[in-house]
Amino acid sequence: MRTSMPIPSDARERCYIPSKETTRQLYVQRQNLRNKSGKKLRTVSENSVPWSAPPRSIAEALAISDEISRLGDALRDSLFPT
Amino acid sequence: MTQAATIGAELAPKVRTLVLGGTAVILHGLNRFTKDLDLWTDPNPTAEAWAAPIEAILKLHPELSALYLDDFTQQWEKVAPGQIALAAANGRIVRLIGCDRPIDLFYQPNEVERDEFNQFWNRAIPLTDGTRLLDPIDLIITKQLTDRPHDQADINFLQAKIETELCRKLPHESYPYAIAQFERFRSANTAFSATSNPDPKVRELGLSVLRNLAAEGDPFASEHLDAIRQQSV
Repeated sequence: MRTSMPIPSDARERCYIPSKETTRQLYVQRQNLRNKSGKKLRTVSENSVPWSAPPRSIAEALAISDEISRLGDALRDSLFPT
Repeated sequence: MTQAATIGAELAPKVRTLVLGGTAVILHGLNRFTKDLDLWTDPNPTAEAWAAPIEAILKLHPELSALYLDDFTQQWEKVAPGQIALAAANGRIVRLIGCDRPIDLFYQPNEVERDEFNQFWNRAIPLTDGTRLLDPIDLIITKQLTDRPHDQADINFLQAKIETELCRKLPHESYPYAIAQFERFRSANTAFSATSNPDPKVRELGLSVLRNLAAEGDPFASEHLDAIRQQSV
C-alpha cells in the first residue's frame, strides 16, 4: 500500500535532504568499490563513525583548532625540513 | 592578546549567543582547524538591540575594532563605535579584530531568516561558557550553497553523524519522534532504519520516505526498496 507522508508543505521546505548529485556520486563510488572487492560494503549506519568526545566550550574548541594547526606545522617541518 | 573565546563567554550573559561555523563543527566532534570564530547573537527585536551588547564589548575592550561586510560591495568596511546598528542595515556580519582571531558576529547567517533565531536557540545545545551550539541539522543549513570545499567536508561529517544517531534511534523510537525527525532530515539510510521499527506506522513512514527518495532518483533508496521486496518474497 502506498501512502503519502503526513508532513506539512512548509516543513518540507526546511527539510534537509542530502544533495542528489553528491548521493549519486557516492553511489557510483560505492558500486565501483563493490565491483573491485566483490564484497557487500557497509552502509553509514553499519559503520561506527570515529569522532572523538566533543569539547564543551568555545575555548576548548579553539584550543583543538590551535593544536591541530601546531601539529600540522610540526609535521610539515619534520617531513620537509627547510 | 585578548582571546576570542573570552569575548564569546563575555557576550553570553549579555545576549543569547549561538556558535556557528568551523568552531561549531569542532564542537560537534570533528578535529579541524578554524581561522575565526562565528557567532550569531540574538537579532531581535531590532538592529539596535542586536548592536547593544557588541557596543558594550567594544567599550570593555578598546583594543578591539569593528568592520562590517557590505552586502553590496562585498568589501569589509570600518565601523566606528556607536555605529554597529547602522552596519546591520548594510550588511549581515560585523567582524571584531584585535584579538587572537577574528570574531564574526552575524545579524543574519547564510540561508537563515532572523525570525528563526528562537527556533534555532531552542534546538541548540548548551555549552559550559553560556553560549549554545547550533543543532547539527541547523548547522548544515547555514553551510549549504556557500560553494566552499571545507563547508562540503563539514556537511559530509555532520550528515554522517546525524545519520548514525538516527539509524540507532529510529528502529525503536515512537511515531511522533519519527515524524519530527523526517520533517527535518531525510536520507535513504535513516528511512530504511525506520522500516525495522515494531510500530507499523513508523515502518510505513520509513517506506513512504524511501519511495519518495527513490522517485526523486536516490539510488540508495531504490536499493533499500529492492532489498525489502526480496525479503518479503
